[in-house]
Amino acid sequence: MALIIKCPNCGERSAYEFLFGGEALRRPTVNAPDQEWYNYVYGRRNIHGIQKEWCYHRFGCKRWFLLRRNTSDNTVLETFLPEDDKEKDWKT
Amino acid sequence: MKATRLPQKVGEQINRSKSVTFTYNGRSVQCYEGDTVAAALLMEGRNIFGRSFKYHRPRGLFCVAGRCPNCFMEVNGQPNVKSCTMLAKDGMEVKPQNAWPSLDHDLSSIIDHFSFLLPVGFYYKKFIHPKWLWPVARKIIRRAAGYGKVNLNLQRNESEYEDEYRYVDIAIIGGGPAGLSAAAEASKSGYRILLVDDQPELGGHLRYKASSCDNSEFSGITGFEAAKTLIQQASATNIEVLNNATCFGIYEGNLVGISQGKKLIRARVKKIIIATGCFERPFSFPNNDLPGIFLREGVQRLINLHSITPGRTAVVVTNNKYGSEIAADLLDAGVKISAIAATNGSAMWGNSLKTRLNEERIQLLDGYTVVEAKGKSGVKGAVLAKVNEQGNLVPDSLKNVPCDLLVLSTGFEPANALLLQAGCEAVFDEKLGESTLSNMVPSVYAAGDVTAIHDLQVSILQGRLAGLQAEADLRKEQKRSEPISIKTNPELEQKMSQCLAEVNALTAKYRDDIHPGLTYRSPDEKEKKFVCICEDLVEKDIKVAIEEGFDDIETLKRYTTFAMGPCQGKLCSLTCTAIHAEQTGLKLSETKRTTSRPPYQPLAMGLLNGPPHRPIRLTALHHKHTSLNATLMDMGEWKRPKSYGSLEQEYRAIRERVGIIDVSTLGRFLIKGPDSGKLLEMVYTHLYSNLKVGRARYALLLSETGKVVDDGIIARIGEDEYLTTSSTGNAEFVENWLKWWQVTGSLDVTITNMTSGLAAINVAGPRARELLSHLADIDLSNEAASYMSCKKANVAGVPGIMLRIGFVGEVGWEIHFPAEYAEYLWDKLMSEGQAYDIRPVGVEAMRLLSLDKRHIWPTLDTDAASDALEADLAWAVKFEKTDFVGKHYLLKTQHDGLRQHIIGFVVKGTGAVSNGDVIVAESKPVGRVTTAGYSYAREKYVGIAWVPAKSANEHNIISIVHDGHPVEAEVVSGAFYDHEGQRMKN
Repeated sequence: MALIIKCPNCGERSAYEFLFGGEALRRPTVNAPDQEWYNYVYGRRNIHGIQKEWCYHRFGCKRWFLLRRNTSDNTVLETFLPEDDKEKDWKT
Repeated sequence: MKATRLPQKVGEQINRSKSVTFTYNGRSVQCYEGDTVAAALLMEGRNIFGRSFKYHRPRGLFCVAGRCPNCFMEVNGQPNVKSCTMLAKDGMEVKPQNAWPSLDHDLSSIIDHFSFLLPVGFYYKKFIHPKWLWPVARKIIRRAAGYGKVNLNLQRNESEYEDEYRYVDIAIIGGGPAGLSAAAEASKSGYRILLVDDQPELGGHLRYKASSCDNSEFSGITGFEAAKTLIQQASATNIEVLNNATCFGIYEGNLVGISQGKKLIRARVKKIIIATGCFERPFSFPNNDLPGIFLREGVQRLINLHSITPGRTAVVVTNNKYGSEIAADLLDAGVKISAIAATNGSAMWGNSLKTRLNEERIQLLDGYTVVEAKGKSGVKGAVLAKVNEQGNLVPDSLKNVPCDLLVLSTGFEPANALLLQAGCEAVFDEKLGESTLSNMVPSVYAAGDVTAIHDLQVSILQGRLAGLQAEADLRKEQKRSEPISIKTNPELEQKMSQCLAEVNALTAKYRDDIHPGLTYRSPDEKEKKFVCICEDLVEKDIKVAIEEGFDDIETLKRYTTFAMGPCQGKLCSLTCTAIHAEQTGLKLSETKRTTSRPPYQPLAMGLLNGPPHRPIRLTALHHKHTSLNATLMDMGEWKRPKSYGSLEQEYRAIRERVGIIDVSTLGRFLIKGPDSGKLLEMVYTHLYSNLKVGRARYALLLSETGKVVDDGIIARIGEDEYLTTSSTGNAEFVENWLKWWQVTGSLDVTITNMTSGLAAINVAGPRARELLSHLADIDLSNEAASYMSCKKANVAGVPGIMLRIGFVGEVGWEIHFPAEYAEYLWDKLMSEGQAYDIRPVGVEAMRLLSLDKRHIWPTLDTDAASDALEADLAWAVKFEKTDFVGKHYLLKTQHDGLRQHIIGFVVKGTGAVSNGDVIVAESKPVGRVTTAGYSYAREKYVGIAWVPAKSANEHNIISIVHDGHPVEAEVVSGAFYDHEGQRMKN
């Protein structure tokens, strides 16, 4: 149960210090079809399992980082800075 | 029943050298420091402490441990305070509740004689024929029933409640022998421990145990002494102790809720050890609610903690070894014992006590139980009888024994609510006569009386074992990067298995030796035989409800309301569940108990709400505004000056001479780095790649769906350096938005939020240039500092950035400078400005001035549905850029066509319009006015509104409904004042 999140910058903090930034999705190109844009802006994959998502340390260091969280039991597997993400599947 | 104070004794919690004075019903009461309100009132001769919920029967102290509703009183205006645990303080104002004219003579007690009219669920069945009777009855019932009353006129201090947080490794709930042993053991590792106990001192039940702790490592020592040793062992720097603190709930994610007086503590912990002990189960017999009838624990507390004997002549009814303890305590306190009914025999009782009882000629009646209590406003006697193997009364064994104190020690209920809340399961154990834990959840451990084993040595060992288990589990989960202060424990596994073996052996022996004794229940259900004293339910009520069809424990609870009162089932749940089991043919081990829910003890709403958290932000010029008597207004978190006295004067100052406006609430950001331009070009709609150093440009920020979110100014102050502004209240959003784009684009740029660091003053008006020329060290002529320029300058010696923008439609500069100089610069501007009759200008006038120019304010004139093109901001959108936030959806709007449009209008006649007025066409609402005001320049009411796109043409007439009347207005294009924008470019 993820009510303590480890900010890569600050260490373990209460989950209430953070802002949930949505699923880490790749932004479509400007000319991509409407459906792709619709999915990006409004659609959510809602994975029942492990998803990568953005997190902002709103009441702390104010940096964005990424989380891998298991949505089934709300446990956080890992947190890391964007530059340390090997996949970079969200990079524009 | 007359209470007496014993001479000073070891273990008492009172301090006889300090006296406390409070008032009860206006009368002065004196007691010792450490006395509870109830103890003090007992000494005053009070026997009746409350009136029952429904029947207004007299009720006295019963548990004396904060579990039953009998002692509720109003203290300092707060209702339903448990006077048996509330320590008396000087100046307290205590008042009785739920009785008129007094507790001793309550007129409403007449209800007791009409109890036949008020059976279980009577509000579903009675007083409904004829129909008009119910509203009348309901009013009366509502007024008569209940405990305390809330005083709505009571002046409260908003900040009287506090909240705190704790983040620890192990939380131990309960500071008795089990909890203390757990703390002592676990602390050796170095893990951070929080020990929570609801009493003024640690020690748990050992605090009131005067007898010696036989068959334990403290053999031959009194409970008080054993407690001292255990407390000593549990004193370590890594243990924080919270006294007078109640853990009221365990929530998801190992969140432990603790209330300590007026403080709420949220503790997020890794492991929880529950050592909350147990409490006595009441026994049901006719008139079992009379004042003078106590649970054993209550009398032991009074005798040993307060040195008070609550009566002169006692009868003890017991089915366990604690009965012998209370008998010894009563003897030592000089109380005459009329008889002891030992339902399971006295074979286990010590010989020395039996000898003593013999000498004092006290009847020790083996196999006897109590079948009735006698008395009206207090107990006067008990009827005892012998019970045979079949559970029936032995004929001719009835004895009428006089007493003014009846002590019940008839079994236990573990205080396992927190364990159940955490997800553990319990099942009724027939052999032990109590619920034991059947299923534990990870990270939660139990130790002590709460496991239904009532043996001191077992409690101590279970405590140690729990401490070791918690430590072992923490070590397993610990990562190597954790601090080295956690000492290694190589024999941990060995210690654990040894401890476990000891616990198992002693527990098995305990189980073998236990025999709870015969139970007998009197058959006569007409008598007042209470099973739930909180809700005034008698045994018959439960049986009737089951007969009526509420034969599932859940519906039975909701219909009868047992376990729904202040005790939340502590005193009644097992009794009522047992009746339910019996009536439905189940064994107690087969039944289900109702769900345990937090809070475990009642909480004041104020405690959960906590202190007010309304951060108010003030600009660095706040004191200037207040010293000028400005009326303040809220803008998000900020306090801003609405006006300094005259809207018109402030307006005219800027139009005719010069005025200054505090705009420090705007968000300011310093964007630096090689990719700064790239970032801004992507996030904002305009072109910035061609913005030269020293120039500024309007900045429009959209969402990905093309909706207007914010606007501001982007000023290029260096090659790779920009000052960006945002509107008031949006700084937090813009900061996180810009940072997200920097991160996802991997852009080489830093973003610094300068909002609090820089103050900003807008100096505007036809004479602004003259004024500033006296103070600034740069050339402010139109050639050197033209419209939309940005210049670094020292103004009155203060280093700043001067942005020449035309927000209010006149020549002016928005000066951004370090906030510490704010008051100095303001004073300089005001004093130099005297020559021009300068005025400070408030937000209201500023809005009117900007309305003259038809400036659109995001979030005031736009909302989440406002597309940029529809908001008439197409001029700021540069589609030639390859990509920017919102482009895709704006192209769609262009393609699909606009449906609505922002327009400016001028009212045709002399009529007025206001913000929010609706625009109608063919009697249907088609649009709305977002900003409206009287334009001194046009001498008419003007405004900004949303209308359907087809009505947005210049010269079109629209109909606005103001105050119920239609007002005609004409759509105009551009600004209402200085249409060509010449004045600000001078």
